[in-house]
Amino acid sequence: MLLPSNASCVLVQMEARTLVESPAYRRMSRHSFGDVAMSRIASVGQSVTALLDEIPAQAPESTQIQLVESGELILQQGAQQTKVRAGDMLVYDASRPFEFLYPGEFTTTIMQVSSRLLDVTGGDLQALASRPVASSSVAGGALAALLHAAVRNDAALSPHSREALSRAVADASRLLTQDHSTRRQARVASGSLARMSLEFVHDHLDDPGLSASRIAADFFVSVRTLHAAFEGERETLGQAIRRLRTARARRLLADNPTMEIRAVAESVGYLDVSNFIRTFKGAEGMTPAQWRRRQLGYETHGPARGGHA
Amino acid sequence: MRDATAPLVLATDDLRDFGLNASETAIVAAQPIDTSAGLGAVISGVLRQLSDGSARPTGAERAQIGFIVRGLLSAVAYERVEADAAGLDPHDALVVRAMQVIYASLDDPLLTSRAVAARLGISVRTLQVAFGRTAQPVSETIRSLRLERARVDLMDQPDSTPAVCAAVGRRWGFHGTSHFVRAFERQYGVRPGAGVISRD
Repeated sequence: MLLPSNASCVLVQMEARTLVESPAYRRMSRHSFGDVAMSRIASVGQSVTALLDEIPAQAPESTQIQLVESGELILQQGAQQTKVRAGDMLVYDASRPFEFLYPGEFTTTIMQVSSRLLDVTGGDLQALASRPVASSSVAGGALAALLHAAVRNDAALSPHSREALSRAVADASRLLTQDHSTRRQARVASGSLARMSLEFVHDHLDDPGLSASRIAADFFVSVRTLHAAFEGERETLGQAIRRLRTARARRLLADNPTMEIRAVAESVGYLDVSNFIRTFKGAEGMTPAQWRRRQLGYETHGPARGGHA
Repeated sequence: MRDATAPLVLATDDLRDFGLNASETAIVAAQPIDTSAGLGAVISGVLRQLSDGSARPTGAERAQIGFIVRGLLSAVAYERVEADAAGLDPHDALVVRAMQVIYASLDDPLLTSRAVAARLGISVRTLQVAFGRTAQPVSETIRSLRLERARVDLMDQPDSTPAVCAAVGRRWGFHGTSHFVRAFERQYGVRPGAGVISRD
């Protein structure tokens, strides 16, 4: 299904494919408030691809703020994948290619604001898009309340009230984007960058896109600064990521005797199973399957380098 | 917890706390705000979120949300003036109209009392007389609103570099950084960004 694109409507052109045979439905309403355009969509699960050929790369309206009211949204942009649960919001750069996956039925409100209005750069947006904003946060809550009310009361608002509302939405959006980045900057300044990075790694072990550049972008530091933060540590960032992934893989293998190796690999961020097996073997001296058999007591003779306790 | 659709009654003191001036306050406080539809529903939604939300706002967040509510309340006053100006004090009505022009163009360096009067089709003198009963003259109202917004934008910045200060000054319609710095210092006694910004 192709959705039309025009000046007052939200979004770049999108191509949507529903994920169920029938019965399928798709309800959409569009709203325009001054500088802010919104659209609310309710549908069965679908996968959506942005068709960016339609808009110039430097289009002024290139930031989208999306509230997931029900269901779940997975945004895939570059190597980055972000999962947004019902009630949370996501801020992302709509001028870079992206795809949505809604695994099941959902309701969402998408708002488009100019990046200039928000005073955000592409780098800010990339970091913002890496994690959802909870509606329980102050800024997220205020913006969610405004979006709800705006979409529901659209018909009852005079042109002048719409202008006032668009200013309110712009203020709340700016609060949200600045809040988000300021918080993180402050957090990094107060703690050690290496420690914060390890916490981040721990929270994103299942993300195949987890990398030094991704973490650096998230904490607003250069990759070089990030690596330098690990100079005094016992291991490099790359070693730490591999160690934490292997540790989680061991736990999954031991706790879930029937879980497929492929599924274990994916749960710890490896898309390529053989790569996972190789890394695991490098750390443990045996393959994941051997390790599990031994752990469960099926195999008594481990290989010479059995490296675990 | 606030009932979602009950009419919203805000006392004069509440309205003053949100930063509304005397004329805006008089018109908004004159009758309850209908929260079943329109702007009233929007304001009620934001206030409810603020009072029920689990997150504890920082000082800066509280102030930013205060600005949002102030803008919406002031738009309610404007709607009342548009709907029935006859029953209202003409000076108050004029101030409310002027405030909407000001809110809409706060980021525009060309916003002056003369520009506001021109937009409303009245003389600067008439505008000044109407503002006579509020605490501040028109130009002062514009300047202090800009400074207040800039100050709050800088509040949560852990590191206010000269570039950040310059961007914030520009965002709120200050012509040039040094102008912003001087106005800020006059108003608050300290420089924006706690002295990291150098003169000129």
